[in-house]
Amino acid sequence: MEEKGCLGIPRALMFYRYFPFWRTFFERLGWKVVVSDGTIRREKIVFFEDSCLPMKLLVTHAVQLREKVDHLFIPRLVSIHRTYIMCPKFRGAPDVVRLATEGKVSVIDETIDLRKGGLSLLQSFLKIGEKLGSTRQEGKKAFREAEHSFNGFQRGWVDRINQLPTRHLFEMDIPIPAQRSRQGCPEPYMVQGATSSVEVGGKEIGAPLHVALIGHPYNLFDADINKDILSLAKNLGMKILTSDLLTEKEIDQELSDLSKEIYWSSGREIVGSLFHFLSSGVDGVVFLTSFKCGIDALLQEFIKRRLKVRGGSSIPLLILSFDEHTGREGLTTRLEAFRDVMEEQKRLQIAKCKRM
Amino acid sequence: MGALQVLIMANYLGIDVGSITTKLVMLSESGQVLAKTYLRNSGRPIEAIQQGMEDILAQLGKTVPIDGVATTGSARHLAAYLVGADLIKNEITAHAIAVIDFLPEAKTIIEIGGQDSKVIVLRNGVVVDFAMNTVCAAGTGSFLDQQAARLGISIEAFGDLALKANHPVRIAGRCTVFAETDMIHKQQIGHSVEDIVAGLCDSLVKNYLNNVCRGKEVLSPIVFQGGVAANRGIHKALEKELEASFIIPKHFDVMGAIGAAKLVKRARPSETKFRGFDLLRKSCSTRGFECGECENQCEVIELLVDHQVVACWGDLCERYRYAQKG
Repeated sequence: MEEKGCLGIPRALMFYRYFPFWRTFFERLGWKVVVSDGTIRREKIVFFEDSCLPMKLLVTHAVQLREKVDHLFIPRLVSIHRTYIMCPKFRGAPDVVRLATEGKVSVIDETIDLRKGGLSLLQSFLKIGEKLGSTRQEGKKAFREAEHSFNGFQRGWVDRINQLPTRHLFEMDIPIPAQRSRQGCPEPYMVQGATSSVEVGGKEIGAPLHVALIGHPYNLFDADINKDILSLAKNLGMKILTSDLLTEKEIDQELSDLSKEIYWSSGREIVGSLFHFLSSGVDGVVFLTSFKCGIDALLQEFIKRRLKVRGGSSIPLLILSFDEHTGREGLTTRLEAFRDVMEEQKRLQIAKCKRM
Repeated sequence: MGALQVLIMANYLGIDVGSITTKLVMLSESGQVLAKTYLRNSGRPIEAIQQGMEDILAQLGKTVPIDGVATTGSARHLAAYLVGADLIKNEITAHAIAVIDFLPEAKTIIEIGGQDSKVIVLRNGVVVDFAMNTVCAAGTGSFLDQQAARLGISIEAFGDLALKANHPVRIAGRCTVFAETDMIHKQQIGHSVEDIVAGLCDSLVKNYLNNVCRGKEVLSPIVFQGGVAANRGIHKALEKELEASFIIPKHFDVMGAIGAAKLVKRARPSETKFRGFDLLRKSCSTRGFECGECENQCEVIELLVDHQVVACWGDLCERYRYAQKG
């Protein structure tokens, strides 16, 4: 099919979950999908009012694409769940981008509100297709293929995170490498850079530490936000799990006894998956938060109180807060110490099992 | 006899290079502190490490064989490259290890340093939780340093001055900038220096408890360490707020370095990588450049000893690191 033009997707916010869907949809309709570069270090972050870092990054990436594309795709995400809603900033995102790009580029900002029923997602995308000059028939076909592509991508997600470098996570054309034979037996933790081979971790622990990373997808997978915590964690011998693994039922189970409902879909996912992982199966849970995020601020407090009521957690929990730091040192220190805590707990458990 | 013992027995060197101060400890096989030093970096960690090694040597009276070296603190990697370390450990674990040997039944460690403050929760001699200050240094030593300088008093006199206060003033502790504004205001309306200093101690303590300890279970026995543990004003204010009395270890100011030395003692390297005490007479410096090979644009640092590049770091791809080794 001849390409109709360039459609730009900023590498920010829900790109970090839905990109496989979006890309397939637009490509099937004959558009060349252009994504902004991952590295913003060279460029300045575009500031507007007093926003959270992820939102600033959206604007920065959109401005980067402004001259290179015919349309920018910034959906107005009101709700991505049949009952719950997104942070209000997502509603305003297309307008903020329009202001920042001074109206110089067309912004496709179709509203996505899944509270309107099962077919509303399809309807929204059909409208997008029509705006881009496609028939409803073409739109439907592209939508089905996008769904298929997205589901396939989700299935391989945990392997992707653990086996690909962070910058390749959303390069859909790069396949997941075959499992390495040394899996389950990580390299001993070498002293970084020092000319020595003494293990930092101390006693050998056979299996890698299973760590659940919890948070908004962009906080988890955008290396510009989290200083590439994924590679840092993997280098420290951790296997990473995320809430993508869990079913809605598993997440909801942990939320059934709340005194007040969390009405943000992302908040529900964070709290539900966090407590799911804290009650079983992993060696540690890390909650990544954005310093300026109102939802995260409330959730942190909420989680701490709930933990207190439950009498603490036997699985170690680390809460990390990110803002525009450029140094990685603070993150490294916390993550290394967290690994020491997890290892110690694991060693105690093994010793306990042996005694029994 | 003492010198002879030192020669026969194994010795371990722990180095803790923090944001404001550098601490070195020489530990014997039996875990005894043979020599220790605590000095300000003044923004020059390399010189501080060299000076620290000189201090240690002076205290021991002669060069001793070293069986292992470990580094910790925020400049632990720099220090490790410089001296040739066998082990690099984060400061949270290092502090905890030092306390677990000192007081196995400890349940909480409060550590307030120059730019970091932490709480470490221990249960049954094992770290189960920890927290560090996040985006603000209001609950740390550098906050006190700055305000003491503003009041024209030495930081050493600061704590005792606070104890003389009759009516500590209330000062906003949420943020250093606000605290400063608040403090100047109190000065202008005529409060005594003692009352202001005591107010600053209270505000630091509130900030520490609200920021770092929030949601953590602070149970006794509580061990209080780090440079700020020397400040009697802070000590008293913290105890009052927590309604508990603290245990302050004898070597409270160098616990991180002790922990590092204990860790390397435990690891028992078969042969140490230590570059030797000659290092303090060599010229050591670093230089940085921005690599242009890829879009990462890493800031690469080279360490030069006697004008020779001996180590390289900061490159995400480790291109220069390997070039060094090969």
